[in-house]
Amino acid sequence: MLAENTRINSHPEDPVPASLESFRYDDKIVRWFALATMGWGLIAFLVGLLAALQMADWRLNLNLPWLTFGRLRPLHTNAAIFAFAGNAIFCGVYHSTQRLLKARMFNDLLSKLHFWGWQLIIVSAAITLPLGITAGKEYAELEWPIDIAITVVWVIFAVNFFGTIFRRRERHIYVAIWFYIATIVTVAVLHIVNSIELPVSLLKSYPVYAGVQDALVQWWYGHNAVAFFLTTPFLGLMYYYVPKAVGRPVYSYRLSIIHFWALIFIYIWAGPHHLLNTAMPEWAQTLGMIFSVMLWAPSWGGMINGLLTLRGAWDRLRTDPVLKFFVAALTFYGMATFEGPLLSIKAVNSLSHYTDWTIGHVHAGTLGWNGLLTFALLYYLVPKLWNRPLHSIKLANAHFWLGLTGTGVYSLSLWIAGITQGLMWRAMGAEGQLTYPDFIQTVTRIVPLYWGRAVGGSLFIIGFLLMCWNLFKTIQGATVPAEETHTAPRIKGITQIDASELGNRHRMLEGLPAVFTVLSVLAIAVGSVIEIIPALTVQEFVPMDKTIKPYTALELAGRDVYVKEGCYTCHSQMIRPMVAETLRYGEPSKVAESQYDRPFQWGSKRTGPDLARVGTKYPDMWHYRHLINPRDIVPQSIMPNYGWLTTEKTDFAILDDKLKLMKTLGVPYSDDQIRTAEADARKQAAGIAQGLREGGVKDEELEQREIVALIAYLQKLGQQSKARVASQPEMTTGGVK
Amino acid sequence: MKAEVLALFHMPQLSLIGLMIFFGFFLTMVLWLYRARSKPFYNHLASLPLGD
Repeated sequence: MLAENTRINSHPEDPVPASLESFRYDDKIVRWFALATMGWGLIAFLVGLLAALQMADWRLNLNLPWLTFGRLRPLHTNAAIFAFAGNAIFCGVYHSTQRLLKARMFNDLLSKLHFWGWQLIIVSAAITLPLGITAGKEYAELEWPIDIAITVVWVIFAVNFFGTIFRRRERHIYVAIWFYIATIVTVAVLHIVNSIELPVSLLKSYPVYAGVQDALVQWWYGHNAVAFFLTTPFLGLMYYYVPKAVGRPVYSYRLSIIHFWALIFIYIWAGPHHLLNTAMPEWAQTLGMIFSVMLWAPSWGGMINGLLTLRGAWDRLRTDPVLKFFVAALTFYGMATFEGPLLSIKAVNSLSHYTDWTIGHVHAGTLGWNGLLTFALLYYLVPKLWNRPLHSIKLANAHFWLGLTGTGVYSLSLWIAGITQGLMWRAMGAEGQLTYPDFIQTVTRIVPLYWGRAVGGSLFIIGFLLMCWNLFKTIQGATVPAEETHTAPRIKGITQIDASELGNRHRMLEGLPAVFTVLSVLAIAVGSVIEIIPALTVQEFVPMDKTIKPYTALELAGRDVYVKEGCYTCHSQMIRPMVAETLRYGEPSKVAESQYDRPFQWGSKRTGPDLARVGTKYPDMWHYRHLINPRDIVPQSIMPNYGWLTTEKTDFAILDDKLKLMKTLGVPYSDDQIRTAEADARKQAAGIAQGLREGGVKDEELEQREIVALIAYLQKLGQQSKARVASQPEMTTGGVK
Repeated sequence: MKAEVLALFHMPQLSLIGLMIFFGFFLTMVLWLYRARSKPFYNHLASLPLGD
C-alpha cells in the first residue's frame, strides 16, 4: 500500500508515461495585486486613523457629512477588509496557486477582469459610503448594484481558479488550495444569502429579512466574513509561504487536514455569538457560544502547526524579517483566537459587548494576524517578483517593531477602555442605583485611551510607510523579469483520474476537486441550515405581534436618515436583560419590536447610549439642538455635529414606493397608507416643525428637512412596546429568562 | 422563549445523536489520518510547496 501510494503520487514513477509540458506563470497579475495591496492599505489605515482621532476629539469630524465618523467607519472597515486584505489574498492566491498546481492561471483575461473589477468595486465603495449610500449592515454596507458587481467579479475569480485546478500538472491539491476553495465557495454563499434585497431606487434597497431574521443572517454573514475572508485564505497563505520562507515542510500535514475540516465545519456556527444576551432566541445564542468555544481547538491546532514549522530554524528569527512577521502574525492569530471564544461566553460577553474590548480584539486579529502576515507576504514576494534583493533589512526590522508595538498599544488601549466602560455601565450602589447614571461619565473616562489607540495606530502606519518606501526602493529601477519557462509532466485530465486507483482515500478526496468542493459546501451547510432555517421561520416560535404598527412614512424616511448617517456605528437599539441595562434604558428589548426593521439596527457598539427606548424621553427641541450640536445638551459629548440635517431635504416623493416595497416584503401597510404616504408624511412633518418653530427655530422649509424626519423616527423608538408591554405582560420574555 | 421553543422540540435525543455522529466522525478521521503506514505519503504532500 505504502509503495503503491508513493509510486502513484510521484510523477517520475508514474506507470503512465508522462510527456513534459512547458508553461509560464502569470506573475504580472501578482505584481498588480501586490501594488494594489499597498495602495489600498495606505488608504484603509489612514481612514482608520482619522476615525480613531475623531473618537478622541470630535472636532476632527470637521462638520463635513462625508468625513463624519458614521460614514467613515464603514469606509474604513470595507477598505481594510476588502481592499487591503482582499488584494493581499488575491496576490498570494494567484502566486501560490500557479506554483502549487504547476499551471498558469486558467485565463489571463479573467485575471485582468478580476483585478480591475475588484478595484472598481473598491472605488465604488470609496465614493458611495462617504456619501451615505449604505445598506446599513456591518461589513455588508454596499448597495445592491455593487453587491451584484461583487457577485460577478467573485464568479470570475472562481472560474479562473477552478479552471486552473482543472488544468493543473500536479495531481495533489495541497492544503493551501483547500483553504482557497473553502474561501471561494463560502464567501459566495455568504454574500449572496446576506445580500438578498429589493431595490426601491438605483442606490437604495431594503433586505428581505427583518428584525431578528436580519440580525441572524447578517451576523452569520458578518462573523463568517471574518472566518472565510480574514482567516481561511490567510491560513492557506500561511500553509504555503511559511514552509517556503523557512525552507522546511509544514510541521504536520495530518494536523493541517484536521485543522481544515474542523475549522470550516465549526466556524460557520459561531455567528450568533455577536448577538448574545439580545432578544435573539436562546437556542441560537447557546449554539453560537458552544461552537465558538469549540473553535479554540482547530484554531490553535493551525497556529501550532504554523509555528512548529520553524522547528530547527528558530535562530533565523534574529536575522530574517520575513520570518519575524510570520511568527508574530501566527502569535497574534493564536491570541485573537483565544480571545474570541472567551468573548463568546455569555457571562464574559455581557461585560465586553458594545464596548471597545471588541474593537481591541478585532484589531489584534486584523492588524496582528492579517496585517503582519500580509507584510511578511509582501517582503517575501516583492524581491522575487521584481528580481531584486530587498532594499533594506534594517528598515524591515524597524517596520516589524513599529508594527508589533503599534498593534500592542492599540489593542491594550482598547482592552482597558472596554473593560473600564463595561464595568462602569454595570456598577451599582448598595441601594440598587446606578453608580454612573449619566452615560457620558463612562465616555469621558475612556477618552484618554482613545488617544492611546490613535498612538498605536500611528505607529502601525509609520511602520507601513517604511515598508512602502522600502519596497518602492526595491522595485525602483528594476527590470520586470521575463516570464520563465517551467516544465512538468502532463497528467491526465481530472475527469480521467480513476480515484479507485489512487490507493489513499483522502488522496481520492483532494484529487477530485469537484467532490472536495461539494464536501466543503456540505461542511458549511450543516451549521448554516440549522441556524438560518429556524430564523427564517421564526414566526413559528415567536408569533409576530400584530399590535405593533409599522413605521409611518415620515418615520421610515427618518429611519433611512439614521441608516445613512451610520448612527448604528455608535448606538445600539437592543436593551439586554440585565439589571443595570433595565435601570439605564428600560425594559429589555423584545423580538417583536424590530419585526418590521429593514435593516435591523441592533448595533454592535455603544460609543453613545442605547436608543431602543429613547422615543418621547426628550422633547423634539432637545433632539433638534442635540443633533445640530450635541455639546449644547451634553457639554462633554464626543458626538459629531449633524448641522447638514437642517439643510438637506427629505425625499417625500419616493415614500409611496418605499411603503409599497415594504408591503411586498410583508409589512401590513394598507393601500390607502401607500397612496397617501407622501401627504401623510408632510402632515406629520408639519406637526413636528410647528412645535420646533414655537420653540424658536426659524426655517421656512423646516418641514422638508431631514432632521424633522429623523426626529420623528427617534421619537417612535420603543413607544409601541411600552403600550404593548402594559397590555400584554405575558409577551415580554423574548430572550429573557 | 426557551419554553416555547422547547415545547415544539419533541426529540431532545437528536442533540445527543448529532453530537455522537459529529464526534464519532471526528475521531474516525483522526485515527485514520494517523495510521503509521501513511506517514511517508503525508510527508510527500507536505513537501509540495518546496518543490515548485
